[in-house]
Amino acid sequence: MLKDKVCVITGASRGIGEAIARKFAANGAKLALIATKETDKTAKIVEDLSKETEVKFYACNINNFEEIEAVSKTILADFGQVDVLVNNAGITRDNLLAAMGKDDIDSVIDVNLKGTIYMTKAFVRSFIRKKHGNIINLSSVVGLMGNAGQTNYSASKAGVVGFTKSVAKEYGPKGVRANAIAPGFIQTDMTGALTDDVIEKYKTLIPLGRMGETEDVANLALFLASDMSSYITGEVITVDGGMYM
Amino acid sequence: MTQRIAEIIAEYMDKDVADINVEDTFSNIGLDSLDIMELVMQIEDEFDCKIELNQELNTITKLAEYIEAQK
Repeated sequence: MLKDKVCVITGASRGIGEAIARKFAANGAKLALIATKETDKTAKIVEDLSKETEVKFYACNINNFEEIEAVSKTILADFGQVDVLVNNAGITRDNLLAAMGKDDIDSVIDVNLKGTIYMTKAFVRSFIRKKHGNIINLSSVVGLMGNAGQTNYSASKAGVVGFTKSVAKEYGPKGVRANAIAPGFIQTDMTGALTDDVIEKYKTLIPLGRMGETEDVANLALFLASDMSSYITGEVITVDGGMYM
Repeated sequence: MTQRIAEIIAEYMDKDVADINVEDTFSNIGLDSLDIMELVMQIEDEFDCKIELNQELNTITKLAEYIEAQK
């Protein structure tokens, strides 16, 4: 479904980003994978996916405008073009607002929201030039419904929704699409730290009665990245087992 | 350079270059902000320069002066 499309994926070292990378590779995409640093894990992902497609890894801090500008130029030089940008990199620093430190607020907004804006800005000119581009931003259901203990994270993910819709309106006339995925309770490192009783409590809020898999999110990313969704833009689609409706 | 920028814009708009007044604002010429963005990228490529758009930079003449000043 993505044969020879060049896809940039941030936060590709684990969780949903890794699942999207594996799904895209299995569907013929060429991949530029970004994570904060090269590790044994990222080397393994690149090694695995290199058997199926052309894949390169780039270390970059997503909260650093200059680093992003530089890495975007390198990617465009290496691959010649970019067709799909998946802004997946994200962090949590959960706490009650009353107890939250400034760093917890700044770092979450910097990576989740500003990083998404920086990355998109870095590639949007190349999309305009080609009159074609596809941006997939990872939001979250908590950006739509709120969540106690995640004021910083929810705000960053709600910001991603507004940003996605604005980009869709601004660059739709130039053939650029932008959509957001809002995952619910997905089994990743991020949710792995939760205790069993918290997980059980969350499950009662999910009509499908189970946590999602990273592949559930990757499947939607594949659809949005493919031409099967060519008339869809400015949408926020939840992958949450019915948790938010 | 002014003439060349006028030619690029005329070609983009499918107009005769004689119909482009280099002192007219881009919006009076009939360009919207996205058109200007796309043209600026084309002009950056042609003249190998970097253009930071702002509201003052709103005519072909001013744009040419701005690029010349960078050389």
